[in-house]
This record gives sequence, structure tokens and C-alpha cells, in this order.
Amino acid sequence: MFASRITAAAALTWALCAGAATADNLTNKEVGYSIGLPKTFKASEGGQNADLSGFEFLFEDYYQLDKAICEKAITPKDYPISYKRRCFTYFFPTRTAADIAKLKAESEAKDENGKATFEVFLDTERVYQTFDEYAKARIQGFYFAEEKTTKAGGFDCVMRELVFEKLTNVPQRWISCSYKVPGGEFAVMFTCTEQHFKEFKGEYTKAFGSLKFTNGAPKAKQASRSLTLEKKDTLSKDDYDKLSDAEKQAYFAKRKKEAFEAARSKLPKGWSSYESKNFLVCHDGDQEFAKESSRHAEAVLDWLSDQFGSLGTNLMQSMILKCKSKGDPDPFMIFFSYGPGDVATVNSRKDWNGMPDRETLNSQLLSAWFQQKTDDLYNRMPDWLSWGLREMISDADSKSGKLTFRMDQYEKEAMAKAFKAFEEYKGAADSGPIRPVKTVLTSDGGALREGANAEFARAQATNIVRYFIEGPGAKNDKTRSFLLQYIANLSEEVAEVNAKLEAERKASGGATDTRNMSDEDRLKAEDEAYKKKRDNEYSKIEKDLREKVLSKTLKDFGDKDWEALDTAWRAYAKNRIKQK
Amino acid sequence: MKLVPALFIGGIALAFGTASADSLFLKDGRYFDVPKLVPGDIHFEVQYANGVVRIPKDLVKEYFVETAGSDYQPKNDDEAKKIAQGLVPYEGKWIAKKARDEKLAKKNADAKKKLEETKKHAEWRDRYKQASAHFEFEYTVTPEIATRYMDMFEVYYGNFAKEWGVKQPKGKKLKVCFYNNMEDYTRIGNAPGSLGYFRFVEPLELNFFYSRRDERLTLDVLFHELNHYLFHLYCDEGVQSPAWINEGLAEYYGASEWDATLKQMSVGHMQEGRLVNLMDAIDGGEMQDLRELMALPRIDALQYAWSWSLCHMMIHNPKYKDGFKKFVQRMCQDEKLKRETYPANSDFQWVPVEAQMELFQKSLNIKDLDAFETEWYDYIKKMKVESARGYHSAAMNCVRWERPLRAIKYLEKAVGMYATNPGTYFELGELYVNDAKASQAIPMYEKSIELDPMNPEAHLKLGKALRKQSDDASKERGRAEQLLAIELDPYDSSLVNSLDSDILIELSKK
Repeated sequence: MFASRITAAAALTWALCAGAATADNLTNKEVGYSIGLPKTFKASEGGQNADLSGFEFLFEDYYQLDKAICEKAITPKDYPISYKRRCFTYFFPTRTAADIAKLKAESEAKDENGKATFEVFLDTERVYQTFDEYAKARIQGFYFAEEKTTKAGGFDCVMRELVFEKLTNVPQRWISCSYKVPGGEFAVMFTCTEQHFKEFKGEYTKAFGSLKFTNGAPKAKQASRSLTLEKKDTLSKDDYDKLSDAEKQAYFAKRKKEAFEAARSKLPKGWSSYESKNFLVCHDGDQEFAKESSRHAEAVLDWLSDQFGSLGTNLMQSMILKCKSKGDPDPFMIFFSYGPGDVATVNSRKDWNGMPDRETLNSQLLSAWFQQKTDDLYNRMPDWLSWGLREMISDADSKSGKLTFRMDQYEKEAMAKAFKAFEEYKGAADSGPIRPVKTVLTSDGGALREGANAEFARAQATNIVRYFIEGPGAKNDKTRSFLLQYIANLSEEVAEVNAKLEAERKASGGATDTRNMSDEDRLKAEDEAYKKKRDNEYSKIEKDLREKVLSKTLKDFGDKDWEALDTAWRAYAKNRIKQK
Repeated sequence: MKLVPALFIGGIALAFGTASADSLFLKDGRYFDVPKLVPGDIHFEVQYANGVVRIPKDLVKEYFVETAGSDYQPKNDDEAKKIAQGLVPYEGKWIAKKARDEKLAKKNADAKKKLEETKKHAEWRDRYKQASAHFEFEYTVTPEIATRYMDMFEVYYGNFAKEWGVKQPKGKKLKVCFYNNMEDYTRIGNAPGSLGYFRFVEPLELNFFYSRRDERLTLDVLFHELNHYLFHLYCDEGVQSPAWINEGLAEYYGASEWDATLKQMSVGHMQEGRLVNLMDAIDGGEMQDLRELMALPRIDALQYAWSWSLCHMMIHNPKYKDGFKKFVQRMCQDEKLKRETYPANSDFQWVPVEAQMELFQKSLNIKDLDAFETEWYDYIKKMKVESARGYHSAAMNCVRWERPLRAIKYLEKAVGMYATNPGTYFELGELYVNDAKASQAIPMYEKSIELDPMNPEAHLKLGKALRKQSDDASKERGRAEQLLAIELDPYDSSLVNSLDSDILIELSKK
């Protein structure tokens, strides 16, 4: 499900940013409404339905129209977090059984080959008719407190307070106003911390009274949008796998063209686009920022190609880089679609979700690159490797098209503490705060996080990956190509295991399709297939796979080599902490 | 089923033109506004445009009938004569119409008042608040249901306190939030994917919900979570016991039985759902290593089952019982034992794994841990699943594990044991339909409806199964059942979406 569930916790993660404090009207010409927002609030660009990726996702049948955010953060007492109050608007068009029947019939339409003609995510499971119904299903962690039937903006309405108090560090109280308007229900909602609610309630209720519609009601065009289905021309994975390399190239080119065209046609007002080597770069007018971002993104892809370019296919999908330099970043604008499809990513001058935006972009590009090149290899990487690559690449900067790797404060502090704890540690080597490299390379994430190493597991894994990429490991004859070779071997093994599992899945699928057998025999066949499936579960063969890949990659490594590697890595790691 | 939303503008409901006149309040806490309700001696009949729903009288708590008694039709000459004399039947007697009307008016007024009172407390903001000796309850279930549970809480507390020597700090009653349904619990309790939780950091709090179709689930959850609270009181502040003890004991007490008449609880019963998981694992040769289990700081669902069985064996074997208690007591309360911070950077501490193992063997006088492990496996192999509910749980696991035929087998066993959970019959009906056995599904859906007559989904599925039959009568009844489902809950668009296409098209033309 792509539709995101709004949580109070999510609101808490919005980062601090001091912005211009100017009052703003939240105006939407398409729907034809305007709300006078409290001063210091600014309208955010693009609502949930704003779409740059070429997809026309139809969520449940309602519209989250626009958002606004208060530029001035508040800080709850005893909790060092900057909280930005927000405003949301919604429209819930009235739907009849006939509307639902029409939606259902259209979404079920098939072509002459019996295939669905629409690649549209259509969920009519819930046709929300009211804010009350929507909120109870889609907003997490609250109950409705005070409820008041009144009039605002000339409409009959219900004002409700939403209280968030369970399992939260910062209790919150939001307030909503649901207006009975021609054609459905219109709703406006403001968020706040419980502690500051009284302070802001007055300005919120005043804003509720300022709602105006150009034509007295939301425009019909918007209300009928969800009945429009967009035809898509994509292949299923099975069909895609049957294509030749040339056909795949052609398919990718076609998809890229379509995705870029769709994205260009849906750019919000004031946005422009241009193409770089691998991206369609969409930006909000800040060309300098867009260029800086795309150059960096290209540098990340170049580095990945240099390091691991010999792996997997040469196909790269269309990638859309969204560069938003003004206002707050918008978490709803992040889309990723792996496999044969479009990939879009987002960039912003500001931090998002408490994480520097550059880090987010780097790590998204890493995932996208591996996902495209080597199918599900990325998901099968041992934790030490995926942690290490992600942490290391997340921290990468670029200069003149080249990546430079820095080490963040977290990793430095964790490694320093790990070495200190290691000096005092007297237990078994495999359970200590610093573990032998071989132990790390053969353990799963759960095992690495156990015992004395719990706090440092991720940092150590990252540091080992660093050693092979930029440290002495990259220069040592025996380990120079270790990572590339390891991933290549892993890829081979994973492909083999996947093929075996797929063959068994197909075989067991055939075995259960036994209409002519007695019920007893069918049950026996099902039980046997289940046991077989369990024996072959990835988690059960993962350990063997890790050990096999490692011994295949370092086949000539003896005990002395491992000892030498441990010594060299520790020396490097201690020294690396002191550098940038 | 929902209350009519205050601002509902029409939509789907208008397509049927349903007008509600009477009201029905069930013992499980649900209430319905219905078009016409006819009370009877055995069943209450709810008359909808597309059929009649019969509700066993013992499921009904209160009702309100707008036109009660006004349309009684005489069955014979004698009754006609009485009616001509101005008499009317009322609760088995013939009385003057005026007196009957007065009694009815009073009865209706009382029922309406009770209904209104319940509706008033449906939202969490209007929850009831009530204290018992050791707990502060907040709830949206009916006061009758809440009272039963409050009794259980106190008895449970008393038993555990006596057995383990636990004492609640003075003036620190535990806040218990008891929701009327899972949706409210998930949303307000802010714990998606769980069935209940004990918040072990201040402010301490226990949250759970009333599962009306399977009340045993409610008991399991509350006994389990309440055990976490009691164990929290038992342990020294900040001391974390290993997961296998914490969850194993919670599961052990989670399987407690409650005698509502005697207001007594008994412990040590089978966790049959867990047991089936174990049997499956053992069957597949997937044995849990004892040392590994004891060293784990967190455990998964199957390891809950292993932990439960381990605690069960030690408590029920006189050879180990006292030693086990002593071991737990020292782990939780012995300040002299070496403790270390765990998880890293937290305020919690636990006894390091090596020290735990040593203490365990010493306390239980176990010389050979491998032999003990074998004894444990053998103990599990002797355990048996004996209730319909156990088979139901087992079947639901099989559904999750894509073993539909095994699930059918288990559910058939549950049905053979006269399961009282309407969900058992419903799920079996679903599996039969998926296995192209719609005719076998029909009596299952019917039985599910008999036990839970106001469940629209069961009517819908019955309707769909009936329309797969070849005879016209079944097809026509199937159509009516599907439309009846929509009448039962006109606000659930997923029901509309699931109608057979031709019915949906017919509906869309209205």
C-alpha cells in the first residue's frame, strides 16, 4: 500500500528550520478554495496528489488536497525536539453505490488476452465519505476528544479535537473542522503538541472561519478525478524475463521516454526540467541547486559503476531526480519503484526526517543501483555488507565529479568506544566488542548485535567495508578485489539458490494441483510440500551461503592470513577515527 | 457495524432507502438501529427488505421497538374475542390495551435509556472510569463486561501475589485501558499489529480490547499482559529477566482458565495454538537448542511456544518446581548476582548469559543439560491439543503458512468438537469455497450466521456460495443474502465491492 498512514510520531520528526514568518492563504485554484492561514504558516508545494513520477496512484476514494507548515518551530518541554505545526485539507466526495460499481467495473476491465488493461492501483475497499471515517482508519494513535457542531465559513460543520497520548514521548492535540459542502465533506486539520494547544487553538478556529469557495463548492473536475483511469503499458516480471537483451534495452528506452514525458507534463507551476546523463532533473527554479544535486547524483552512479560495474546487467532505468530547494521537503514526494519501471528520487536543501538530505539521496541511489543491476541481490546481501555499504556511501561527498568518503561522528564515537571496551574485555573473541573480521563476515545481523558488540556492530561492519574500499585492503594484493569478487560470488550463489527455490516452488505448485487425487492424498502432498519449503527457507540456508561465498572468494586464505587481516584492519580502524 | 456518522450525507445508504425505527442491543456490546424488530420467545426477528435475521434471544441484552404490540394478529376465535374486548397479549397474559401500552412505554423508555447510555460511552472520550482495589479501569465495553474483567484482574492479582510474593506499591494502582474492539485499540492504543500491551516504563499502563467473536482471545491477552505487569512488580527496579522467562511465564499464565460462577482462576492449561506450532516444528525436525534459547535477549513467535513449554514442564514437575522458582527469584531479585547493562545504553540490567546458565543448573540441580533438553522435548511430545479453539488456532496458522488443506482438516476437527466461535465455521466456509466446494461451505456459513446473525460478511459469503449452486431457488436466495448483507451494514463499501458483478450492476442502476 503506497498510501501513507499519518502518525503523530512522523510529525515529530520534522526538523528544525527557521524561515520567513509571513501569513499566507492556502489557495487551490483547481478545487476552488481558499483558507486564511494563521500568521507564520506557509503553504507547502504540492499535496499528496501532486505527482511527478508518471504514476497515477488512486488511493482510497478521498483527496488529501494541500498542506501548510508553520515556519516557526515549537519545542515541547523536557523533550529536545523542534515541532512544526501543520495544516492539512481534505475533500470527501459523496459516492453512491452506482459510483462504486462503475469504479469496480473499470478497474476490472480486461483486454482480449484476459489481462488487466489498467496498471492503476485502485482501492475502493474504503470509500471515505467523512473526515471522521477517514481519520479513524488512516490516522494512527489518537481518539476524538471534544466535538462541537457549529457553523464556520458559512457552512454547517463539526469541530473535533484529536488527542494523541499513548506510546508517545510528546503528547499531541490536533483540531479538525469538517464542513458540509455541496458534493461532499470538506475538512481542514491543524496539528499541535498538547502542551501548546491552548496557545494556538484560537488562531486555528479563526482560520476555520475563513474558508471560502470560488463557486460556493469544490469544483466538479477535482471531484471526478478518481473515476479517470490511466492506461499503462508495463510488463509483468515473468514477461520481462523472457525478453532478449536487445528487447530489454528497447523496453527500457520506451519506459524512460514515457516516464520522462509524464513527469514533464505534470510539473507543478514554477518547476522546470532538463536531462543529465542518467536523470531527468526536475527543479523548482533553483538551477544552481539542481545542477549541484545532479552532478553529485551522477558522481555516485559513476563511483558505483567503477566499483561494481561488471556485475549484473548494463541496463539502467529512467531516473527522475526531484530537486526542491524552497520550503520544507515533502515526504509524500518520495517514490521508488524497482524492477522494470521508473525510479524517482528527491532532494532538498533541507534535512528530511532528521537525516541530512544528501545522505538520503546517496543511500537511495545505492539501493536503486543494486536493485536494477542485480535484481534481488541487494536484499540478499549479508547485513555486514549492506550496513557497511549504506553507511559508507551515505556519508559520501563529491568534488569535481569524484566521490570523497568522510566518516560521520556516530561511527567515530562508536569505534572509539568499541576499542576502549575491547581493551577491558576478557570474554570469548567471537562475542567481544570488537570481533574478528572473519566472525563479522560469517555472522548475520542478529548475531552481530548480540552481547558486548550490540552497540558497535554497525560501526564495525562499516569500518571493515571502508578498509576494503578506501583503506589498505584496497591496495593489498590478496584483498584488493575482495568486495567485488565477494558480491559477484554472492550474486552467482543467490541466482543458483533462487533458481532452485523457483524450480521447487513450481514443482510443489504442480503437486498440489491434484484434483483427481483423494482428499487424503492431497493433504499428504501439501504437508510434504510444506516441509520441503521450510527446509529450503532462505533463513535456513543463509548461513551456509555466507560461508560458501566467503570461502569461494578467499579460497587461499589461511589462519595466518586472517590474523594478518585482523591486525591490519584494527590498525587502520584506529587511525581512521582520527581523520575526516 | 458503525453508528450512523453525524455528518453522513447519504451516499450508499440512500441507494437502499433504509429507514431505522427500532434498536437492538446485544450482550457482546454491539447495538444496531434496525428497520423493524419483532421480539419472540426464542428468537428476535429483524425484518429487512431482503430477508429476516433471527437472533437468539440469549444474545440480546436490550431492545427498543417503536411500534411494539400495535399489530398483533389473533390466531383463533378466542383471541379475536379478547381483542374485541379491548384486551391485548403482553408477556404471556391478556391485559387491557391501555395497561399494556403503559407497560410497553415504560419498558421502551428504560431500554432506550440504557441504549442511549451505552451509545454515550462508545467513544473513548466518553469512556467509563472505575477503580478496583489494585487497578484504575478506563473502558468503552459495557459495564457488565467490564465488571467481569475487573473481577478477573483482582483474582489474578491475588493468586499471583500469593504465589510469588508480589506487592503493589501503595497508591500506585495500574491504569487499565479496555477497548470495545480491536480497531479502537489499534488506533487509540497506538500499537498496530499487536493484541495488547503492558507499558513497562512510567506511566505504567495496560491496554487491550474485547474480542467479541472469540472471548478466549481476550482472556489470553489479558492474562499474558497482566503477568508482565506482575512480573515487573516482582523484579528489582530496572532488572530485565531473560526473554524465555518473561514470555514463557506470561504464556503460562496466559493460558489460565476463569470460572465466572465461582470467580476462580486456574493455571497451567494448554496453550494449544502454541502447542500446534511446536508440534509442527518438531515434526519438521526443527528443535530449539536450549542454550541458545536461554541466551536470547529477544525471541520470536515460535520461541514463545518453546519458552512456554519449558516453563510448563518445570512448574509441573515436582523435581524442578522449587528450583525453578528459586532460579527466577534470584535472577530478578538477587543484588549479589553479577549484572550488566542490557540493551546497550539503556537503563536496564540483566544477568550475563554465562552466569544465568550456571545459576540455572545449580538451582534446578541439573548435571547434564543435554539430558534435560531431551526430557523437555519428550515432555512436549506428550502434550495434546484437545479443544476446538486449539484446532481453530492451529488452522489459522496453517492458513498463514499456505497450507489450506491442513487448515481444513483442523477446522473440521474444531467443528466436530462443537466449536462455539462463529469464526471457525466462517473460515471453514471460506476454505471450502477456495477449494471449489461451495456446497460444503453453505452449512458452515449458515452455522456461523446462527451464532452471529448480524455479521454482514457471513451473509454476503453465504449468498455468493448459494449462487454457485445450480438450482434457481438457491440462486435467488443467494441474491437476497448478498443484498441483505448490504442492508446490515450500508456504510461498509467493501461489502458493496464484493457483491457478484450482476448484482452490483443491478444496484448501480437504482
